[in-house]
Amino acid sequence: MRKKGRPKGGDSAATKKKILDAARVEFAANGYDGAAIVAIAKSVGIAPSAVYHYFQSKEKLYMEVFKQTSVAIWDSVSPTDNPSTLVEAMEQLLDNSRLLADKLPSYSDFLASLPIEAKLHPQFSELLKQRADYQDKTFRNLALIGIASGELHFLSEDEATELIRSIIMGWFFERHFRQEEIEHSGEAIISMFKHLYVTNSEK
Amino acid sequence: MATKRLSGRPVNEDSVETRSAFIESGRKFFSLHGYRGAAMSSIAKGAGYTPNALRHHFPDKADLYVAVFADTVNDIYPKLVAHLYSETFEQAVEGSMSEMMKLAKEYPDHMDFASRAPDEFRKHPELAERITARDNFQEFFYASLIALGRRTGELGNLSDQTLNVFFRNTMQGWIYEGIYSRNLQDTTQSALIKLARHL
Repeated sequence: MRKKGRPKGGDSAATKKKILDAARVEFAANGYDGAAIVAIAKSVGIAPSAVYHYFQSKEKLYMEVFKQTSVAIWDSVSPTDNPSTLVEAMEQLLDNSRLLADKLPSYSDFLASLPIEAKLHPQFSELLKQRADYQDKTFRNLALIGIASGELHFLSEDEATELIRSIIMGWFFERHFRQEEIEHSGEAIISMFKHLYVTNSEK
Repeated sequence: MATKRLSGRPVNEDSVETRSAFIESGRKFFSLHGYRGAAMSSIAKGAGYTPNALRHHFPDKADLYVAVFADTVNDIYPKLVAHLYSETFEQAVEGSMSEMMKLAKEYPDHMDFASRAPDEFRKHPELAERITARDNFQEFFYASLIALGRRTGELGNLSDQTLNVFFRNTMQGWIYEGIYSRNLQDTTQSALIKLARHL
């Protein structure tokens, strides 16, 4: 009886995806140190050695989960229909993020824990740089929208980018920590930008 | 009979000093390895005592964590509260954010520990149950900050709730991102001050 190694006749792309999905859930729930390959294998229904066949180590598996999760998250939360104001862009981004966090909680939880994991495990510090790149692209784009619309005309591009990073990451982390939003926190962001639009867009 | 006492609380030990050595060591290990990863034996060793001496002061890891949390916020919160006595909202925002940058340099373990704590509370509800100081402080701090801006008339016609939650989210987001990425910059500070001027 064959017990170990790559399952015979298995569809390897599908198995790989199942492993990544199970690993994301396991890492999100138990952290990198607490995550067990045995548990990941069990939830997929394969032998632990089969996990190592596809991903040589827990470290490589973690990095691959990071890559897939980042692409999926930033693709699905970034505003899509070319908003012309920060009010619209923020509404889209918050709605998309809420939808994703409710539908696929392990995606948000996994990414929220990354900075802490990177601190505990220096071999993941490269992932922090990639995380910053993903963030920068989205936040700088939003900053340019806000400066052009007048909502943030009084800030430099860097100031607007950092402000938006703080606003969105604060909303995201507080929601993650509590597993629910601080009352009124999404609405406060939208009200603030509506107010800035009315007061500053004509100037 | 053995005459040498090898474990347990050392005789004639100054217990306040011992306790603070454990807290110092606990803060370092919790910041470095997380609540789950920090071992009581390493924390004891880091403080220069036996595990039994540590257990004498703190029977389990949760007791120690709660004590480290209390000690940490006792050092941080009063320094931030002092800025609520500024003359203007703008000065209070500028002063408290500068204070956080200063704390991140001078007390890196404190700031690491404090900014990781909410994630530990999420993972370990038994800790969260014992610590309500953090939420209470945040609510008090940001409500007082907005009340200051109202008194000075700096805050325009947005509702208190909107202003409170907006500044709270943004300043907390700035501190989490900055501490986690080891790069706490003053760019968000100048942006928030300019924003306050355009309300």
